Amino acid sequence: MKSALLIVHRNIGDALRGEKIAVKAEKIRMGNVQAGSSHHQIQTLTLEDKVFCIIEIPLAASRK
Amino acid sequence: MQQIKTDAAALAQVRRQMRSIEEIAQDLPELSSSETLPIPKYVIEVKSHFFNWKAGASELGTYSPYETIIRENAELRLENRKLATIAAKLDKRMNILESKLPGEENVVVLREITREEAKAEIANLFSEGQTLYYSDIATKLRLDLELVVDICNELMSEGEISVADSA
Repeated sequence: MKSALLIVHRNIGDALRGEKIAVKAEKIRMGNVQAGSSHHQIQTLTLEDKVFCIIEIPLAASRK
Repeated sequence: MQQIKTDAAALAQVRRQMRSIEEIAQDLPELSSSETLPIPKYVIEVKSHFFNWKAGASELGTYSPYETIIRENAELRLENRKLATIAAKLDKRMNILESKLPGEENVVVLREITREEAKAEIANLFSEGQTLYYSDIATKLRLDLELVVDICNELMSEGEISVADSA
């Protein structure tokens, strides 16, 4: 059983890496699309003002 | 190709009309001398203006302003068709780009409910046996993402939910 511990990174330069990250922000600015094959394009965007990001994990009811 | 044929036909018709006008204008001096059919003064003036205009047009290398108008019309139609094609392509590209942007139809008004109510609703959602991400819960229940994460962590610490085995 994996445990989930919420660690909030607030320092400038801290990074997040994950397969799926949920975000919310007041402003979302679309960036560029980095060239690659059609199935491997990487898009960039910038979040501004009251940004909150969380690395997603699939959750389910505990077996009792 | 059809357009060129139409323009050529229109041009030929204008030329025929111009020839008719020219013939009528050339006949006017004889008519003016007729005692039985008096020619109004303005008709004579029109004839004079016509030949003056024709002479001027010939010097400029254009037989008739109608020819110029028809040629310009054909050019404008061609240009219009090109612009319509470009506009259709741009419209298609814009639709693709708009579909990738967060649209107005995705605007969700978050519900303002108490933390206890939100916790009960989230627990109820998990009781249905679904495997859910934070964002799924926030979308389904129209709740703030941060609140959902906070409540989920609380439910995890209470042992109500846990990370799914599939993760």
